[in-house]
Amino acid sequence: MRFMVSASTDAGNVKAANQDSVSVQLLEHDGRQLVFAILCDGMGGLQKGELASASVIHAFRGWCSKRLTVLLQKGLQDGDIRREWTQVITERNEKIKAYGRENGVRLGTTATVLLLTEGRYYVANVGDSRAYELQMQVTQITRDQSVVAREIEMGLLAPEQAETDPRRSVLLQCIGASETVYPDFFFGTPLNHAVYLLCSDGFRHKITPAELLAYLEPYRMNSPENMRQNEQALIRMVKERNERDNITVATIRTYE
Amino acid sequence: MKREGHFREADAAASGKDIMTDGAMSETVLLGVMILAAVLLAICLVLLLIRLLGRRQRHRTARVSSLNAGSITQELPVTEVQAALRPVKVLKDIVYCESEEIIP
Repeated sequence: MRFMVSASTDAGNVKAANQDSVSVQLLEHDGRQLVFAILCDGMGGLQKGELASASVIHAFRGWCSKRLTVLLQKGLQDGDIRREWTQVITERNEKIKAYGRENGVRLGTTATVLLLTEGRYYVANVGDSRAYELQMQVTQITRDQSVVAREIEMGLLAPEQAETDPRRSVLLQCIGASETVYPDFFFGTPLNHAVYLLCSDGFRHKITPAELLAYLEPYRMNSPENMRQNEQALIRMVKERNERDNITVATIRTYE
Repeated sequence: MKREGHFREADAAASGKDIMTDGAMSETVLLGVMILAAVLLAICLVLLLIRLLGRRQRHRTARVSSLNAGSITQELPVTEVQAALRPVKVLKDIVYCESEEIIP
């Protein structure tokens, strides 16, 4: 299996700063390709969200350059990924909290991390950024760690109500503003001729799953240029619909 | 006293026979041969033992790994060394962070 990658981001209609950060790396080890992607949404209501999101991106890129080769050499195990990524997230949580205390500011970030190999995908999530799998349909891989998502799960709120609920951006936890962070992990087998998507909540609030599939379905994503054009088209659409948040998306296309 | 196949020298002389002419050995010669055989066998056993011990020692040395390594190899992270020899290649790198500052 091989991969094509792309990413796009936009500060959006209202905010002066883009507090989202994104990193996508197409890698090769022993003749096999893999992708390591991270998307972080610095907290909108907090100061210096862009610093928090950049710090988490930097920490995971450091993990990738130091530890990924070693784990690949040993043979990737779900447990190793879970342990090491939890350690990175926990350490970042402590460092960002300490920075906030020392500087008298509040800052935090979500994080969605994806490692995509030929035979398995590994996803970690804190907050309400998302990972999707698109092929014939749109499948949400991650589960939001937000108040409205919890209420939907408990049957207290309908998904349609959640879209306009004033608490839709209230998170249960985030890196840098929670006492302890418990990332969710998702593992699975990647599909061939599919698209894997990471996005911030600003990207997805104003578009439906059908629109997502119409623009990003695998056969419309035949080259990195096409992928970027389609991402940009969706970002324009989201902005036209008056999205107020930063907008970020990363896409990975699998093929043979 | 006679023993079948063996002649004392006196008996041999009395009977006019050469003591070795019927294919028998004197007890002294037989004892000597036995001692010599025992010594040779012992030498062979010692050599075999030395060879076996040497092979076992070589075998042990060849099986060093990160799991059963002794004090020297414990200082060598085998997987890390192997990984360093086959690094991950970056084919494409997209990164966007507005903040130039990083919390160390």
